Amino acid sequence: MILAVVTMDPCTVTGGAPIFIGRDEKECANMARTLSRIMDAMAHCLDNNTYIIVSH
Amino acid sequence: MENYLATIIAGTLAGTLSRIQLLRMDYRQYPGYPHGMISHISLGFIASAIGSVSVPAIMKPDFAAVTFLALAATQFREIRGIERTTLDNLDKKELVQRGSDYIEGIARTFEARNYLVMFTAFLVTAAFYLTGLPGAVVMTVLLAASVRYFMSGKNIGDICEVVPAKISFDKNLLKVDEIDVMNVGLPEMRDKIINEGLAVKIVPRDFNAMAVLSDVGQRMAIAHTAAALLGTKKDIDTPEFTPLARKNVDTGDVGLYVMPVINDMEALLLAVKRTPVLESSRSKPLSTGAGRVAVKNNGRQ
Repeated sequence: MILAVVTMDPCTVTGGAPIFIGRDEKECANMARTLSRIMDAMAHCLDNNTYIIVSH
Repeated sequence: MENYLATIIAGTLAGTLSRIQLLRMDYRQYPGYPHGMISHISLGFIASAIGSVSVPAIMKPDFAAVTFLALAATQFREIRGIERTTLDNLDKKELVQRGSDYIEGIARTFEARNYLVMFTAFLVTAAFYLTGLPGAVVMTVLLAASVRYFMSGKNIGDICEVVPAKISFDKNLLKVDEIDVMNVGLPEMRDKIINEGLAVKIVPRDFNAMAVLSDVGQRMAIAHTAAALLGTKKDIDTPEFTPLARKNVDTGDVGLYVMPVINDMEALLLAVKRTPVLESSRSKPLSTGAGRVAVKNNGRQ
C-alpha cells in the first residue's frame, strides 16, 4: 500500500495518498527517509525523482 | 507380569532414544529452548509407552485395551494443530518470517515423528517379547539406522548448486548477478547494501529442483534460515534489509540477498545448502510423462 508520495514535480503525481513536495533532490531524499522511518515502511524511488513510501 | 514389564521398558526406552536422536538430527526444525526440548521428549516418551504397551495387550489378549491404545494414538493428531498455532503466533513477531509452508512442514514432521516413535517402540517390544534382549538390541539398531536414512530429508545443497553472487544496482534496482531483486529508493541504503550485503545464486541441478525453487514458501524458508544462522541487520523501520530470494524467470536460478550480522560468505553458502527442502514445495515434474516430454523437447535436464 502506498502511504505517501514525495516529489519535486507535483504535476506528475495524483491520487489518494498524501503528497509531499520537496524543493530539490536532497530535500526529497531526506523527506522520503523521514517518512519511511516514521511509518516503518520502505522508500522506493521512481526515475523522475519521485519517491513512494510503501508498506509491504 | 515381570516379563511384560521388561518388554514394555525395553520398547519405551528404544522409542524415547529414537525421539532424542531425531531431535539432534534436525535441530532447525524445532525451537531450541530447553522447555521445547522437554515437551518434545516427553511426548516422545508417551508415544513410545503407547507403542510398547500394545504388544502385551495383544498377547494377553486384551482387545479392549488395544482399542483404547489406538484411541490414545489418534490424540497425537492434535499435536500438529498445536504446533502450527504456536509457530504461527511466534512468526508474526519474527523480523524474517519462516512462512506458513515452513511452519506446516515443521508441524507435520513433529506429528509424524511421534507416530514413528510409536512404531519403533512397538517393533522393539515385539522383538524383545519374541526373541529376548539380543533381538531387541538388533531391532533398535536397525530401526535407528533406517529412521536416520528415511527421515532426514533432502537439503537445498543436494538438489542445487549454491555459488557466491555479486550485488549491484541498476539505478535504484538492486540486482543479484542478472536477477532483479527490489527497488531501493534511498541513496545511503544503496551504499550500505553494496558495502555490507551478501548474495548467493542458487542454481537448480534439474527440472525437479527448478520446481522446488519456484515455490515461494521454499524461498522464504531459505531466506529465514540464512537470517537465523548469520543474523540480520533488518529492524522494524529498515525493510530495505529484508533478505529476499528472487527467481530468474528464464533459467529458474534464484538470487538471494541478505544483510547479515556476520559477514561471511562461506557461512552463508553453508546455511543455504543446509536449508531443508519443504514437503509442500517438493514436486517431481520429471516423474510425469508431460514433464519428461517437455524436458526432452527443450533440451534441459
